[in-house]
Amino acid sequence: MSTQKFSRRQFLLIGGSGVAVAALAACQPQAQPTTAPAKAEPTKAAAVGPTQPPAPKKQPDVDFFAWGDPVDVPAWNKVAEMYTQKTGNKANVTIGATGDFYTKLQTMVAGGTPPHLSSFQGWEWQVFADKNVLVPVDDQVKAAKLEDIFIDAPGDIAYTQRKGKKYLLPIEHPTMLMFYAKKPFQDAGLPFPKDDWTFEQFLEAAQKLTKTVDGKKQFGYQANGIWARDIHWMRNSGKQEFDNLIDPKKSMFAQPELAEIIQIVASDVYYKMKISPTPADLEGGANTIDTGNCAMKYEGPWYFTRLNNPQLRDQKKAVEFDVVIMPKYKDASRPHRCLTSGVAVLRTDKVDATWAFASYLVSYEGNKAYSEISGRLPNNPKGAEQDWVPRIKELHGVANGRAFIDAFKTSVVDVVGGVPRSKIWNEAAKPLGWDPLTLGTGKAVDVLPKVDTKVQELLDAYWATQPKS
Amino acid sequence: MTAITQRRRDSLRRYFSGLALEETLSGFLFATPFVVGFSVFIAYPMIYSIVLVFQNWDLLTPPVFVGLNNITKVFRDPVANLSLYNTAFYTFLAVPVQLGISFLLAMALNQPIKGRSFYRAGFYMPMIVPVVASAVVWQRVFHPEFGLMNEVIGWFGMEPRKWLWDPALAKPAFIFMSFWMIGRQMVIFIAGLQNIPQSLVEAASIDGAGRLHQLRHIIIPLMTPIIFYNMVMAIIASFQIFAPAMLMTNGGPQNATLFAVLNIYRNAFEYYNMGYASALAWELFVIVVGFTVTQFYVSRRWVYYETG
Amino acid sequence: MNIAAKSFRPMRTAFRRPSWVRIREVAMLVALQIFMTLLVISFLVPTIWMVLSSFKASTELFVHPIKWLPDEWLWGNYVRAATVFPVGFQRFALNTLIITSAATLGTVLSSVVVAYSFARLRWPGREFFFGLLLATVMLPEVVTLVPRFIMFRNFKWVGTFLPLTAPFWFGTATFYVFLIRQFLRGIPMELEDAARIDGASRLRTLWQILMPLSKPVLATVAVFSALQHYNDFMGPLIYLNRMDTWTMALAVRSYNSQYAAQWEMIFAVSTMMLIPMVLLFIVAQRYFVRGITMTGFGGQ
Repeated sequence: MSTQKFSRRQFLLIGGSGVAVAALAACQPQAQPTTAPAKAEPTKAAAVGPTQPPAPKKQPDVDFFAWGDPVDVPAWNKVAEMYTQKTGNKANVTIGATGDFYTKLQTMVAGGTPPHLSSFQGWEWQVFADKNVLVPVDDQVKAAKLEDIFIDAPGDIAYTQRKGKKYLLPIEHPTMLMFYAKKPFQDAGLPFPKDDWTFEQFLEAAQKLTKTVDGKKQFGYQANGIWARDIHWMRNSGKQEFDNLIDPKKSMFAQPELAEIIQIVASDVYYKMKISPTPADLEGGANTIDTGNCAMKYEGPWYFTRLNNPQLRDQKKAVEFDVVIMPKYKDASRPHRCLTSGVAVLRTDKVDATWAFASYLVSYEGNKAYSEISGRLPNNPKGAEQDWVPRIKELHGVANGRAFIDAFKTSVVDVVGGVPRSKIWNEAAKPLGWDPLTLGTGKAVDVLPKVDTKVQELLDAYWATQPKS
Repeated sequence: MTAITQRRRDSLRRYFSGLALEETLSGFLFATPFVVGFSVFIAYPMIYSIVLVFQNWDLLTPPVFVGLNNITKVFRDPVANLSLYNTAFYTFLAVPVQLGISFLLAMALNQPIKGRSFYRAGFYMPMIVPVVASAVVWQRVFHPEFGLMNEVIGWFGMEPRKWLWDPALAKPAFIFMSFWMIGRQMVIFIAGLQNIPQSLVEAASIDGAGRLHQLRHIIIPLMTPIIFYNMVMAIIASFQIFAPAMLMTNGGPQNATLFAVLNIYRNAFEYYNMGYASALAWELFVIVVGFTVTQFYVSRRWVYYETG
Repeated sequence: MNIAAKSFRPMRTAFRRPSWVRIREVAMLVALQIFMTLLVISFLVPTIWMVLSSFKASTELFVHPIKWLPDEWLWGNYVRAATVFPVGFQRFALNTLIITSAATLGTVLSSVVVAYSFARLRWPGREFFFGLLLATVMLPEVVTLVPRFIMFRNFKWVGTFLPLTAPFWFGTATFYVFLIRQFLRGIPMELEDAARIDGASRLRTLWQILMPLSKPVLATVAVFSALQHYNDFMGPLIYLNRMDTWTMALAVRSYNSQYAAQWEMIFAVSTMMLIPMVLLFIVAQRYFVRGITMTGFGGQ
């Protein structure tokens, strides 16, 4: 009957579309690199002349889970594109948002679908190495002669090696310095900060630069308000908040020198001296060094592009700025934090292919392209001193670029070990320490002992799972 | 004896003999998706999560048997207890007020005013806004310096507050936010009010009962089943608040908005402590079920069901 | 719960009252009308402000007193917001569309099949399983969160769309199954019997006779299910890691944390996510109301 045929067609139609949708839903979403497809196949075939290097081996595609800072994203894509053009192999760049980068990475690894290569900051990868998720790369580094990307300074060693083995391939060795916007200083008739300035001079300048002009608020200092960025001040007080910065066993936040400096930089700058916009204000984004409302900020090279680049200069929205090493406080050697970050190879079935891409990424050529786009400090001495310093002067107006390289010589690490810095922050330092401090509801001398108790708990819990040495 | 077994055999035979067999088999067949789905996605995970409670597992290294450690930790951990307190605080302050507001709105929409469909739609609208979008909006409303909230309380002469940045005010802010989402309860109350026979109300009016008297002695008693239903559903939902806390304050400030489900999520997917997270989840489950069952028992006292 | 959705009528009393009482009643109604208008505006205002702000320049967002209309309607904000991510916003929209359609289709089809079994067919254990179905209402989603993740990890489904779509093809959604069951019970048996006599199989009866009759309730289920999956946050948060698999919900959240200073873009993205659901709501409003009224469930 006609109705029978119709119903069967209907059934097939709906069933078919259901299957189609299910199939769409089930198919593994392909990582979409925004790079151009490989046009490199012809170049391999066109290898002519004895000086041509041997055609590179054809490797399977690798997945690179890349740090998603806006300045980095185009850089990753460019290097991946260059890699494909050079070797014909493909690296799929998938961006991880910075907010919960490590959570997502851990989910991917725990979920059975890890990337082959991942970005890491120097203090976050140790946990993964301990759990055997990462591959040590000493042999490969030696074979590829890439030793010069490692710097022989305590900070760098701690951030790239663990238990004598290299894991992290650095792509930058930045330090953080004091950025200052020139205009507020000029308007107030104050001289620019100099290398030999002191902490008291810094506070004084910040206070002089804090005023209200034409109803718009000006601040002398844009405080960061998080433990990581206050570490610099803490170390410069001559004390450190752990017994050992590598695999610490004891938490020592509540020392008088630390309490004193933390009180100033994490609380008083907002509420007592009022030289910085409050955290709530900063969250709104109206009063920052970017908008010209703050005179100074403790930042790193990744911040250059935000303040001053050719496009912004064309639109007359650029902020003229320069950098200076941090003011002298109690520690005469003036330690600065170094923040080596890079990539690490995960233990998958594609380690060789991954190494091929990773080694290109950190090689002089790849790193040069990366650094040019992202503005980050290159990982090798030649690139840093010969390429980067003049370039940042030209592109961003930074005359004192050498300060970054020099500061690295006295670099210290934040803390590395089996308990990652993020865990200490999220579970202890932030809720018990920095939240009340930055909100103005607690004093350092009161909250730091509580931070100690909780951090000690985390450390003890970690050491309880380790084999007794 | 034999009579009973004979009856039982008869009742089973009812299903399996002759024509009824086809119906029984069809019944099984059509219900198979549910049986399979329930077993695979609900029953098996629940049983497995009990197994997890006795282990510490981070999914990267092999699981470690820890006995009752996770269970004792659940009771001793100050953060876990704080999360329960936060959840209870939120639920037991928010739900009664929500019910009150939605009931009053339903009564108001039951009056002969114009544009009632429009009002009903307007009150229901916030429920279709994605939670990520409403989080963004409310962050702006509660902004300490430029927020709508401080502006409005300024009209009444009150000082601006820090709201989401103040540990004491963060939960009240969330409670206030929940009043925006009373659309569902209101619609149910409206339907319930419509079901009240006009004759009862008219009879009371004729007898001289004022509005208030009508409310207390006719409308509310007849609505008690619906009030009860809304209350149970609202409590179950409020116990599970997660997304706003994660998006707006991430549990802060100082863990003031660390609610139970957020704590479980963190332990599972940020700290990768699967065993402890499972223990916390079971604790929450027992509490929710316990509360619901208690409510059902207590309801016998105050819920008035019409005959049948 | 068997509240049928009656038409939305107000309550009136039929007999006459003295004129002063009537005037007072009218005055109260007018006052109520005004109050309700203000109240409903206050419910809609935050969302409207967000939509208007998405067109503003960032300097107009944080000012005293609050600015409502933008000086200049910056459509460019939308263009920027859609392209600033390395993965274009259209990708997020596509992912959301795929997941929502697959899950909704699965919900509707499987709920109908299961509801039919509970409504019409007699089989041993039916009451038991129906009781199980109702009991799952009390189950907080979080209890099965961890073991399901581990299970999906063993299936190698983490990072794909499958954990967000496959479980909904099994008819375990309490409210939808319940709703359809109640509805099916209201359909006279004669229709089915006639079909059986004509030789139709169970499936065909369901397909050709019952389902067309159930279009209203199926529409309700589809609308609610679509809303639920579209707005789902926790599921994508856990299972979708690579940015090119994200749904719009995750993208909006990421804007909120990464581009914290650029609220006008965050608002633009939120508005883009909101619009489809608002359209759906306007078009299908009565299904929303019916769904809530008949099941007690609706929304987040």
